[in-house]
Amino acid sequence: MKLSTDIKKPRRILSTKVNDIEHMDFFSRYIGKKVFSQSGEKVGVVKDLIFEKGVHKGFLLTKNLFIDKEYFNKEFDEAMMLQIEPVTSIIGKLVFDVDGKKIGKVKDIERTNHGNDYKALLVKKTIFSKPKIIEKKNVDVTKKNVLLKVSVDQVIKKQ
Amino acid sequence: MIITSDDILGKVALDSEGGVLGTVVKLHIDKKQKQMTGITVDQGFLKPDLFIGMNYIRTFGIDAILLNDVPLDTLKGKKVLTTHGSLIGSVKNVLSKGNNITKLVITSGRETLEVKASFIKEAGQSIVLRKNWHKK
Repeated sequence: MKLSTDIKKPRRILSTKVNDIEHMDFFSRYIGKKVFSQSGEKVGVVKDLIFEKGVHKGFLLTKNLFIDKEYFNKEFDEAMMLQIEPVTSIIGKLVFDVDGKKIGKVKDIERTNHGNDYKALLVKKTIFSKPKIIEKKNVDVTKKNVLLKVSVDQVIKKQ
Repeated sequence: MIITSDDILGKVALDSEGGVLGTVVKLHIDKKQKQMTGITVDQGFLKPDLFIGMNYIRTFGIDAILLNDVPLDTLKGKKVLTTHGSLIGSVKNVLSKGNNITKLVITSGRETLEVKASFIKEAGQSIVLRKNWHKK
């Protein structure tokens, strides 16, 4: 076996299967990377990679958000891009009805599973006010903030 | 239904995507026609005021003025990214025909780039360009 004394290749490999690791993905390449949604909204920063029985499943971002690797573009440079608008990004957005009346802020979303979809929004005007449940069918836009298709009086289902 | 300047001034103006443009600070009235022609929105510190014509206003709402479109001026200053997450620069200017974008003028370091509208994949919180944006 040839001893490696070449200072240009400081890395040593101990493996019966791997000859070179330069073309492989490094864990450190992902940590600290910013993650943007499909529309360019910052979603978070990668804190960890999640594996199940040795298989990479997804990424854990700041705000304790896990995103499955299927939602990411495979190639990335300075930041990682998603192929979706994460439904969790709706949380914190302001809600206005069709008459321009401010209803409050999205405090939470009601979902039937962990996929990228929601059933209803939980909206509160102040920390002391009762939450209002607004079904998805009454929501028009959720891009920068939430705009409803109808007036608040028509849709409120008090919790 | 009659409303007064109190119902408009000081209200928040929202674009069609729910984006907060700023606060309404002025009403514009045509002296001869005696009709309202638009509003001026204060976009905040260091940003120029934005005039919005009446034809872009959808509703004078209870708490907000709702527009029926996204003013192209609001794209200025936004970050421009590729689909690979690389930061190209920021939008310096928006060239348009009417309310349709024709090109984006982007500052990238010391360079200025012009990118055709057809290469814009998404225009949201940032601008995301398609893969082949650098091809002419």
